[in-house]
Amino acid sequence: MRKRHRLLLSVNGLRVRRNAKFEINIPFLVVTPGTVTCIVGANGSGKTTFVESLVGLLPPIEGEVRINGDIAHSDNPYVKRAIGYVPDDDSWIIPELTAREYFELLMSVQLVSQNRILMRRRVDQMSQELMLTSIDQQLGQLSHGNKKKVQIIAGLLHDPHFIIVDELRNGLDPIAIIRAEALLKARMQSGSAIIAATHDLWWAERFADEIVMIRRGQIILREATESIVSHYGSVESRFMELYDDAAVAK
Amino acid sequence: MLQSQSKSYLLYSTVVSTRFGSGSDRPLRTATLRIVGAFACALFVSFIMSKSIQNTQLPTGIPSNVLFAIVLTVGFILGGFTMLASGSIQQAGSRNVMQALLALMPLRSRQRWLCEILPVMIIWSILIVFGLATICVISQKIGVSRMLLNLAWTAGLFCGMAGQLAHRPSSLFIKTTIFIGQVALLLALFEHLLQPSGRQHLNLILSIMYITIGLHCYGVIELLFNLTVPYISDSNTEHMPLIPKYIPFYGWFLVKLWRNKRTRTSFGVALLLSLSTAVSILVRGTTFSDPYGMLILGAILASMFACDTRGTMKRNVPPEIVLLRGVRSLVKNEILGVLIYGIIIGLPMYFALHGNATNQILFLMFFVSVQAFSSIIGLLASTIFVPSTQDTGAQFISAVIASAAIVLFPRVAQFSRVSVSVQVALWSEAAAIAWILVYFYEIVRRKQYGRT
Repeated sequence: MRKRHRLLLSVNGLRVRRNAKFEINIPFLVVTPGTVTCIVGANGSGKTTFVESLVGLLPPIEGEVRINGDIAHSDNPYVKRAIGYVPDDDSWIIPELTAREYFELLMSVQLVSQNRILMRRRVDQMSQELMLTSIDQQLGQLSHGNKKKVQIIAGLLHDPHFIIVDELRNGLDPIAIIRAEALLKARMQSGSAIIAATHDLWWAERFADEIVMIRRGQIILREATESIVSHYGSVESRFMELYDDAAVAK
Repeated sequence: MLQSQSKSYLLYSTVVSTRFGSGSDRPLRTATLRIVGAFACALFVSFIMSKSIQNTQLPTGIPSNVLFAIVLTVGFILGGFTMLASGSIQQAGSRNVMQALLALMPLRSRQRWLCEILPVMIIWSILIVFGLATICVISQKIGVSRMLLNLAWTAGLFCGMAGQLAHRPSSLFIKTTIFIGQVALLLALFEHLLQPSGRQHLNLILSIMYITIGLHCYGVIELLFNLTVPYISDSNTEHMPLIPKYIPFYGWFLVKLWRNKRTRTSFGVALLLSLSTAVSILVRGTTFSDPYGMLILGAILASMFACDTRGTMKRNVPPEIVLLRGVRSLVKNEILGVLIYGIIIGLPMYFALHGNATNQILFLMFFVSVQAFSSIIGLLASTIFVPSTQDTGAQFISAVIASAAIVLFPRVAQFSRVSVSVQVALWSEAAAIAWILVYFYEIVRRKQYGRT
């Protein structure tokens, strides 16, 4: 895989409203290639809302998300090709298709390769890596874990610049988690940036180069994992401290 | 399967499969069969209708531009009505997965637009076929160009459907109100046109009618420029009416249908359409020689509501099967629910028409029996197809089948040759047969579960 340079995902003065009661405000954030950024926070803190606005699914009311200079919330095919999205919700599939048909559809629209034999080989290789055996079964009939594997493959299939993952570990067995992490790390080493939303602090500490902590739709911390660990011992202790402070202030 | 197929074929066949073939293990084949079935059904109904028109005396000497406007208006009303009826299913989904997945794909605007409009185009074509034979017979009898009337029919349907595609206004209630207002205006203009003074302003009246109908085309244009709006709805919170403290054993489905946003919307739209038709009849003081036949309109609305009901539960093993102690109780519960809502939907039409009937008791019995048949036949179609949220195609096809059954049953049973009391008995018997079929279909589905 080729090395990528000068690729950037930038967030400027972003304000996104999920519903009448909840919105997120992200003043500034830049994600550079070859890094893993973990977005952590409690349930309902706005992780999924943030992730969905990054991939252009939720339109901003103010500000913007730019991917390699282009606005994420647009119909620009270059922007769409630059993003690989692995959602948390296992209903984000087309239940009528088999996994193989779904991958072929994705590859054909993503124009990964015109060579169908190569495309098939790539699908088979990734399925083997993630131990997805039921590739010719309808997606609606797959188990939760297998649906997650399909979503991971679908997100990585077109070799995107930015891989945005929402709760990677949900539904996966321990071996699949290790293999999925290895797949993501390999992509990162080849120059992709990974943005992962999670509530698992231990995993974030192990996996991320940078931690972005969100509380009630606001960033309350953005720091390198190494720095957090050296100053506070662990991401978890820093998280508890910040959330306790916020509770006291309230 | 997809060895030598182009990108466009893969994309559009997926859209058709998801919209018309959901719940099947071979979705594209099922979708194709369902679409072909709907075309055949539309053609059959059209043929039957054209047969009955052939024996009817039609007025002659109507200018061709007035005839064009009449057919255009009828097409407009049918197109808008169909889209509003299936719109309830689209409104209910707070998150449209297929749209979201398409939003993530690097497609051109034209492709996105086509993905959005393709299912509607299929429904449009089915409706065109539905009127084809009838229009050919009318044009032959009156001596007006067949091409002209077919053009009016096609354009009317298109305009009626196009307006409902627009993202703004997003509320189905507002869309329905606007549509009812437009229909009321068109009917008022028509009435004016039929009076001698109206002939003096013929061109003005026709122009207003064309503009009113043509304005609806904005939906397709808006869709072209506003494709990025509804990937995910603004709000995913829903305020559910509370479960009452006490529910009688057979009352659960009544509560469930009211609590579900999709069925609540569907009920609201059907009631609004029925109410506005009844008000229009009362305000105009129209009298009908066959009030029994007019009740069919309320019955079709009730069946369209019933088509939405089964989709509120899981396809194979709904939890209600356990909670309501078996399939028999579940079906009884469902039927009581659709019956009560169906009768409420038809009530405005009943009150508007009962003055035209000579025997009030017989008219009431006819009303109840026809509403019962339409509700249960709608439930049967819904049980077979189980149209889920966003499943516009399956919902449309189940509505077509239910409506066709309501329209065709009086002809098959030769209602014109029997008395009203016999008609009541026939409607009731047919309703009972449909009830048994719903029950057996649920039993078979449950036994088949997990065996594929």
